[in-house]
Amino acid sequence: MKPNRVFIAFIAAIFICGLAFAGDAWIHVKVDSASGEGETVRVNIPFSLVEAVLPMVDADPLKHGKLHIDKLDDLDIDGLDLRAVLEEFRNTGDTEFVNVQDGSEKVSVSKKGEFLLVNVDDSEGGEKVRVRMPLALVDALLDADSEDNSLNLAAALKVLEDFQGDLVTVQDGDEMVRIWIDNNNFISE
Amino acid sequence: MILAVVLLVTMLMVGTLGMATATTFRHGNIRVQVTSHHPGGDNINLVVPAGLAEAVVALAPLGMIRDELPLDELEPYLPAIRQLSRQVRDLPDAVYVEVHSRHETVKIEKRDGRFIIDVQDRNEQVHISVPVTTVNRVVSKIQDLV
Repeated sequence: MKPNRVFIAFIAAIFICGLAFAGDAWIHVKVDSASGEGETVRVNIPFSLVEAVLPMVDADPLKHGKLHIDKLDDLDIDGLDLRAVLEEFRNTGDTEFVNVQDGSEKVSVSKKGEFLLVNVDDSEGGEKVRVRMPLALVDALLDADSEDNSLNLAAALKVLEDFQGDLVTVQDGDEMVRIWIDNNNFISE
Repeated sequence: MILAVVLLVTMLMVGTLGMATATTFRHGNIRVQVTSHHPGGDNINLVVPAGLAEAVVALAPLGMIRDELPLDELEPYLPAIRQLSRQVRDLPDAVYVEVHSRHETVKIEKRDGRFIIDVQDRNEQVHISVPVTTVNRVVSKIQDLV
């Protein structure tokens, strides 16, 4: 009987460890370039690591999880309440807000469910960009004190922890970039 | 009398060897291998007990370390580096970064409690393997200096 108990305890331990790791979200970056040096890049980073380290960085422009962007100072957005705009955006049904066709290039910004979608297609240059950003992420980024023109990356990471799937895919000629989140600690080719 | 001396020397040798083995087992080794692809090129194969390396860092004169490291530049990042070194200790084994091109390959992974860095290019192949605990201790030492 004893070996059976040990075996059951062993299986239970593996199962519990498996569950613990299954709960960890990983962010993946994959870059494939067929031109030039034919470079391929694979990066796998666990969220728990970024979440723990990010608030500890205290060097411009990143301080305690907030990223200061000088460019925001240059933009004349005084009086524009970005949070209010976002709220309006969220309350609107699924729709396409921007659709620009300029020669071979087409840009589209739309809302679908809880996601902001940005699509760029250039039939001449072979460029194809797909951005799928949860609205909660934009919300979290703007959570920082609006006066210091910073984005709250730490809060954004919290949101992304529960997110699964593609965030950004870019196809530019021979180059392909994909950024996504899942529970695997590896990239399956 | 001679037997007693022989016994004493044997005990000392066995004891020293035993302590060295125990230290190596507890801390592991730091391995650095450089293999040149060119005939007559440098080939290095270095295996240093991690405990010894940690002792060297611990005993190194503070002034010397201060002279060698850009501590002022490192200071803002040290809390993050320390946190990073603490966190990676508990991370699962995985390949964290992998870069391939026609002439170069870089791989950074954590495996069996070690950081393993492999770099290969046209000229040489470099393999570095360091116990994660050693990284923690060295980072702690550097932070103590600031």
